Amino acid sequence: MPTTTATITLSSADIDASPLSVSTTMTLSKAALTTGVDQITGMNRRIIRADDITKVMLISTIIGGVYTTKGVTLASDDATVTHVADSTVTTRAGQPVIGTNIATDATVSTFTDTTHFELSAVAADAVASAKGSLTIGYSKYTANKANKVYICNSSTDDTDYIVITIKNEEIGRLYAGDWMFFPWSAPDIASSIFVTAATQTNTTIVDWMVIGEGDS
Amino acid sequence: MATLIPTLTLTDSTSYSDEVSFSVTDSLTVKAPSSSLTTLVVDTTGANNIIVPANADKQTWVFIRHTGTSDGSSSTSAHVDIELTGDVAIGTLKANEWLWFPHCGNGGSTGIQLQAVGSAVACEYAYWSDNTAQ
Repeated sequence: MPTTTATITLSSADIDASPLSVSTTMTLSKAALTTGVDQITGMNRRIIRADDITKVMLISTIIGGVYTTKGVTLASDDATVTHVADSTVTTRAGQPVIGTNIATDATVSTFTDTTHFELSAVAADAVASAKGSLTIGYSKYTANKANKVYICNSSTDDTDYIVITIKNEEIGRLYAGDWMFFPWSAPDIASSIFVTAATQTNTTIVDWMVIGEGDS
Repeated sequence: MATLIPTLTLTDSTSYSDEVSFSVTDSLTVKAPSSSLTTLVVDTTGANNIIVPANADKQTWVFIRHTGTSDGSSSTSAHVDIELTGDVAIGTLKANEWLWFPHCGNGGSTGIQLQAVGSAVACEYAYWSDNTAQ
C-alpha cells in the first residue's frame, strides 16, 4: 500500500510576541483504518478566462464521468425506472442518479434488467412517460471517506483572487500563490467544490488534486 | 502586520507510477485579530466549539490539528468534524491529521466549529487575519 505524507510548516519571524515555528506531518490513511490511501487524481489544472466570472465546478462529487439514460418512465412516489436499453453501458448498484424529481443523493439500488432499475429513493414527482432522461454517474466520492483536497491559485497577479465554495457556502479566498489543503467529507452528491473568479483581470490558473479513497 | 510563511510538502513512497513529490510555499501578510496555537478539548456539541467567530470584514487563515488524544495525553481514535456554523460540513480530521484553509466568514454569517464524534478530542488550532483579503 502507498504511504503518502503531508507536512505543513508554518513560520514567521515577526508574528505575535515571539517567532512562530510549527511543523507537523500526517500520514494519509483510509477512514477508520491505518491502511494508506490508494487513490489519487494526479495534479489537475483549470484555466479560467478573464471573462468567465461565473461560479464553475472545480471538483465534482462524481468520479469517472456520467452518461444519460433516455426514454425514462418513472411514476410519482415510485422507485422503479423504466428506460430504453443501451448496450454501451452497464448500470450497477451504487451508481449516483441525478435528474428532475430525483431525490438528492439517490443511487441505483438494484439493477433489474437492461431496461429497468430500482432507485434508492422514490421520485418526488413523475418523470414524463417515455420522454424523460436521467443522468447516471459511474461512481462518487462517498461521505466521510478520507479524501484530502489540495487547491492552489497558481496565478501571478496579486490582486486577483478566486472564491472556493462548497454547497453555496463560501469557504474562503485564494489570492495568487495561496494554497489550501483540507479533508473533504462530501456528505452528499451536492457537495461538489466550486470556484469563482468574479473580479479577475487576467486568466486565472487553478491547480488541484484529490488524494484519498474515492468511493471504496 | 507580520509575514507568515506556510509550506506544504507532499511525498509518496510507493506504488503510483508517478510518485507524488512536491512542495509549495506561500507568503501571507497577516494581522490581528489572530490566535496563536491554542489547545482545545472538543466535545460532541459543535456549538460549544466555535473556534473562529463569524467576521464579515476579514479573511482568516486557519490551521487545525487533531492531537490524537482526548485530553493531551490519553490516545483516542475518535475523529473531529470540521463545519461552518451554517452547518455545511467541510471534512473530518482523524488522529494526527491537520488542515489549512482560508475562511472568509461568508459575509459575517458563518464561523468555524469543531465537533468530536463519539467522545472528546483534544485539538490544536490557530488563525490569523489576512491583511490582503476583504
